[in-house]
Amino acid sequence: MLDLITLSAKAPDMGTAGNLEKYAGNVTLSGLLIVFAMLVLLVVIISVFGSLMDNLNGTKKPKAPKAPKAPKAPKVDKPVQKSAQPAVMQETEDEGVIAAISAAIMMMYEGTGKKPVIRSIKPAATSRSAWKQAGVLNNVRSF
Amino acid sequence: MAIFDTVKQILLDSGFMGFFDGDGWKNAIMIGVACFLLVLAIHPKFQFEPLLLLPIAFGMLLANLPDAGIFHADIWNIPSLHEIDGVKVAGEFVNGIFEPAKYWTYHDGSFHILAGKVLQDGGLLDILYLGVKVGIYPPLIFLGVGAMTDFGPLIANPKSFLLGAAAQFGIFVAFLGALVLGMTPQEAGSIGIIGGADGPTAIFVTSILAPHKLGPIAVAAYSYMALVPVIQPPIMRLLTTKKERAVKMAQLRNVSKTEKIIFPVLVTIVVSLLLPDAAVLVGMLMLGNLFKESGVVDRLAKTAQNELMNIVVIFLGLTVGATTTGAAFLTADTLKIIALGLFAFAFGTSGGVLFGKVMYIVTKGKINPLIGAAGVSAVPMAARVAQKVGREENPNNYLLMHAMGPNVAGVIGSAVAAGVLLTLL
Repeated sequence: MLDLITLSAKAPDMGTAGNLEKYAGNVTLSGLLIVFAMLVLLVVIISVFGSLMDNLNGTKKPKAPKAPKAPKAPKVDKPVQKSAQPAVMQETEDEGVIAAISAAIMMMYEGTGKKPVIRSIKPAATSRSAWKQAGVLNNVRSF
Repeated sequence: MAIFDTVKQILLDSGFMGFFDGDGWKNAIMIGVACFLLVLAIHPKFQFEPLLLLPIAFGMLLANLPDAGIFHADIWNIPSLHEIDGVKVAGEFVNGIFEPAKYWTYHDGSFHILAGKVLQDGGLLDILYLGVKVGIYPPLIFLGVGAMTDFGPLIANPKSFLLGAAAQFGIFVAFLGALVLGMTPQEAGSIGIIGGADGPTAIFVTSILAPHKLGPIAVAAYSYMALVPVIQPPIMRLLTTKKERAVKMAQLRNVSKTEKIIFPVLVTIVVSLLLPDAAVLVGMLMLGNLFKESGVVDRLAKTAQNELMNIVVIFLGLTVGATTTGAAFLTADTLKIIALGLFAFAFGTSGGVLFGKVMYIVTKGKINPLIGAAGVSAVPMAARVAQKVGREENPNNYLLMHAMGPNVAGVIGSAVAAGVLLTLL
């Protein structure tokens, strides 16, 4: 296809306005077509390649993320991470905090070969009062 | 009297007299323009793309100093072609006698510069300009750009390639516009490529298709790249609704290191096999990226990102500036090029945003059309603009990484478009 376009485009007879229009239209349409065709081809190749890599790594997203089993999180959960691991958590949590916690957990496991699954994130219950907590922090702070 | 004559002779031999000789006054104007650009590059209030603007402006200044001999525009003017005894020869008739061109030869259907002659007679900038003429600097810049680019967002969302393709629309619209304004097809293609918002690509294509227009086209391309934050937002707001601009996009998937390593090799093979004229730009871009992603040649990656890139930017900036000699730059065609460049850039942005709207409809509102504007190259400024305009509607919207996909796709897209134009024209 390219050769035909090249041949017709490389031999413009610019003598008349009609020829100029035909030539300009030819270059414009074939140019746009080739650019799109090339990048569509790359979309297909990279998409197939991405799926292949996901399958090879066993990290393909499951069809439907399971509902959390934790009894204390009965509300509707939503996935935060589209990636590898299904991660579901309470809707009331701040998304920024959830994203930061998820990223930190993923980083910890990176390179270990383990694939953590984050099912829910909730504030840790503390047995200490705020005053006791402040005291502990004061004593364990590095100097 | 002898002293008076000596002073008079010194004045007559000085560069000042050059301003009164023929088109010399145009050099004086260009020196003024160069000083103005230097202010734009250096003054704390502006500082527009100083890394590029400063060497370009100083190259402009040096090339327009009469009799300085640093750059000779006449060396680079393509001579006429005459048929002598049935053979096509480059040269001019002077007083009825044919004089073959000193720096050019014609064979195999095209003109070729005699590099040895340029090295012998040329000034510093003539010699450095050989790097532009033989097409070395733009691919080396691409090597550095590749070493600095993270293709992760594009690999995570390959549909971004489509936005990178749509934003090349401006190139072809400007091509049509330039033909209508009476430019040759080669000049029109070179002007159109300004719409790709990619300086090195514009220089690469122009140095092959229309070298006599290199100065104004390079200046227009870099000026519009610097003006991305000014030109794009009004077009983006005009073509999108509040609801569309406020769309929050889903988090991108993680991309493994293996994918990032295979990507540059894969793209190089596919693009170069299908479009060999794009191989040099895409190949160098991907080589730089492979330096970075492989992680085994850190020294090469750092050299490509820093030392090599900086050296080439100095050479490229100086020599592109030097092509803007008064006689070549101050013409009506320059105004047409600047107008068509803006036209190309605006249509490129519109093409990206409109295709983004199509994707918004197809995906039922999952794609924010603003990221389409980043499909023009201008990395990472165009992506930053998408982020900024998106946050105006929703302060919690972070489009930057999503916009980086179309943005780096735009670099590949403009290189492909350059290959297409080189093939067709």
